[in-house]
Amino acid sequence: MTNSPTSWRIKPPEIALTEQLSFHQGETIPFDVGRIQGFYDDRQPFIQIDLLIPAGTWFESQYGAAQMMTSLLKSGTRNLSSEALNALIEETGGNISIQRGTYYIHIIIQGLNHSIEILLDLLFDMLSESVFDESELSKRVTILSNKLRRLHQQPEYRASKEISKLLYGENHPYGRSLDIQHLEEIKIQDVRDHAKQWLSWNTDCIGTIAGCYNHRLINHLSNGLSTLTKDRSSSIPEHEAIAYHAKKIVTQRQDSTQHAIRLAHPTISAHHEDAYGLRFLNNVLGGFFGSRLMSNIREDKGYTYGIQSSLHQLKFSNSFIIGTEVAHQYTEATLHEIFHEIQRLQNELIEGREWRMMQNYYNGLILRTVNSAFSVAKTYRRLTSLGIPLDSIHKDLEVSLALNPTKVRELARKHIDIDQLSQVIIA
Amino acid sequence: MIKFKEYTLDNGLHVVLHKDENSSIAVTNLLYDVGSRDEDENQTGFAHLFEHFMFEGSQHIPNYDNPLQEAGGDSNAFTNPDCTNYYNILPAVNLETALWLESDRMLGLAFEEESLATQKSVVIEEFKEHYLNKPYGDQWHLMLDLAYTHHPYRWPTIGKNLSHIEGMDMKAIKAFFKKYYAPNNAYLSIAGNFDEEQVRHWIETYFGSIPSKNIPDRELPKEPAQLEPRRVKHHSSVESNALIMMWHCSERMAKTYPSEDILSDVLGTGRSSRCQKELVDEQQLFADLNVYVLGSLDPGLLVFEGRLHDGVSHQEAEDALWKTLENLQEEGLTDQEFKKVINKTLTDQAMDDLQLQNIAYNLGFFASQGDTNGINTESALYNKLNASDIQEAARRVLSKSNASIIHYCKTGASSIS
Repeated sequence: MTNSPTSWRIKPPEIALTEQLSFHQGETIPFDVGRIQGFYDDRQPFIQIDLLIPAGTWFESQYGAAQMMTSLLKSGTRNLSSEALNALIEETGGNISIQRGTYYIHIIIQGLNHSIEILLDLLFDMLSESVFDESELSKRVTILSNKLRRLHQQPEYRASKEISKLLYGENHPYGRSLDIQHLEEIKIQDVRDHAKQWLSWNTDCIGTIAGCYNHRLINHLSNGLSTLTKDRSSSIPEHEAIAYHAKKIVTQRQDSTQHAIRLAHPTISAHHEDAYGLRFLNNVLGGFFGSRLMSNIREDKGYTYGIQSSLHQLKFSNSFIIGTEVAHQYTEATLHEIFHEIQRLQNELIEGREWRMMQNYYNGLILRTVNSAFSVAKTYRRLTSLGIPLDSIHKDLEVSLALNPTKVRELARKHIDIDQLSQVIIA
Repeated sequence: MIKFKEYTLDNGLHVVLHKDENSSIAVTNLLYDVGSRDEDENQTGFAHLFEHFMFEGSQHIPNYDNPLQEAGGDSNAFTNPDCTNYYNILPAVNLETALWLESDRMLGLAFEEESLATQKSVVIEEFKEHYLNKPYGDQWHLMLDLAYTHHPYRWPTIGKNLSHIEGMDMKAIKAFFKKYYAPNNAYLSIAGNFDEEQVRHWIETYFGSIPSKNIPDRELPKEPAQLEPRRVKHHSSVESNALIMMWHCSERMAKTYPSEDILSDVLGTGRSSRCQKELVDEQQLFADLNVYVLGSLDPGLLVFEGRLHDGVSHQEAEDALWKTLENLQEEGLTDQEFKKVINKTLTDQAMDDLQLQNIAYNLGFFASQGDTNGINTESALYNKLNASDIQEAARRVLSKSNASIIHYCKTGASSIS
């Protein structure tokens, strides 16, 4: 800081880059079958356990079976009615939530440390003794149908659905989405069969525990999960995505004021040698508030409230997607500016201060992914589900520090192709 | 227990510091005591538009976000009826950058016409995206307009309509800044890993010379007690009918607020809650429902909103809800029900304290209410409650004369081509 009263107002303070990450890698806790990764933090009397079980839509014989299985897991067991089960879970003050993904179902158990064993016992009961009752299925089907009807009214939902279909085909687990028709066709036996075949703890499962856990809790978890171990008689199903061809879909609706726009094409996997650099490139294009798309289309032109580009890195496939919602009169101009920004990245070098900003922002972003036991656990699950070790975060940092504008331009030319982008514009 | 230190600069800026040596990041939170309740009723949406404008360059720094992003950080803000809150998250080693930026925009803005035009356009798109082009998007406009007749809570923070946003000009922007954006109307809280002496020095350097202003006393019209039920029937192109009911209730810092907060949980939080169990699972009248309190600083609302199953009439659903409420008023809660919601509240509070961003905001919020230690003592207010307090709250709040009711009717979605 100098003595002039305004010079220090004008000149930014010195900043430092993170050149090395120091974070708790967690401890691998082996069980009789499988393992979990522990991330200890005793600052709050709180524990979160996450279990990822390969039993999502990828494994369905009947559309909707995985979705309804996850919905019905909290709807009663041989030992507890739906009402009693939910009352007991909620009485702890904690929570068990079960989310259906494409490959995994994700079970999250959260609670204060004195209640976590109770929650685990209830979870083990749900996973091994659920009755999957017909009348509960009917209730859940009605509720979900209503929700789907409401979602279908939202242009952004329909746009995301259409772009997935174009990328993978409507019969592929990554491309299909649950429709009311599927719900009407589903039988309780489909749900029971899905659970029987896929709902088990095995070596393909991923688990993390974060917070102030102890040996007693680990033993409790290990013993409970061992009762859910089954030999898998079925091999993992194979699904082939359609041969991709870029297409354009446009719909109109009378009373709509905005279009939801989605542009996408397939891209490289997270294991590809360019994947680190491509994540950086995506960040530059549309990954954060200061990205090219946000700066131009929101901050300079005011066409939209938000615009993003993202990499959907999945277990078996990957895509690059741009999405936004804009007023009808800005649709064409927005598309023009998106293409313009891609071309700028392919034809020009990112210069001076902008380059520094992009590189430093990415640096801070990496730091934030490993800032606490809970955030490291989340990063571990994301990477492990893609078959990538946690310490690849160090490489992410290393690569981002070694990148230069020429390399980023080369990646933009190599991995983004305007002619290959499918376009979905939904009113 | 969240440890903190607090002090006030000579210009009135209240500072709260929470050090976390285990973290490699820091969060700054700057809460200004101005929200949409302070707006002119012919210029609604102003506080929120102004929040956008705060990122459009300040007296000495042409762009707010670029230097912050260059320091590896992110920023954002929100406006609600009571306050406008700005926060930055960045590597702890670069904390000074956030203080440099925040202080300069407190000192003065760039006030460029082009930036105002852009942000008006962005906010108009936000309005369209969330309030016009979304099913039930107009719900908040209907709700607040029905429940409030005098208090400025009767318009949503986004504004009553697009024309108010379109009509905002630089003169009004400057006047708003001059009136409300001052150190003596703000609360700066910092959570993260920092050297306390160094941070105090930076705060004094960057903020200490910003002059205080004469902040006008807040004189808002009081909402008169509601003496009879209010009803509205509204038609919209949605796929399901909905029932929305609201009751006036206490302000966030009132002694009675915790019991009303817990009451809303007893009614609607979790699958074993009263309304979920009786109205969704047993009677199958609603596809889904939510019950919550607004937690506003002036007397607020307890809100019930539910989407009806096809074939269920609004009246049938409303009658069933009244029956559930009357049972609670007459019979009270079971011990299990009471224990459940108290445990849930305490667990949520522990979860909240895991995130530095929440800690920074909550410290700022409680400081703005004159009791920073409220972040640690609030849970005791909930622990002190007993089941009869909740029953009493149900009797006090959930009366027919205090209710505002919206029958939200579907006309079917418009066709897609």
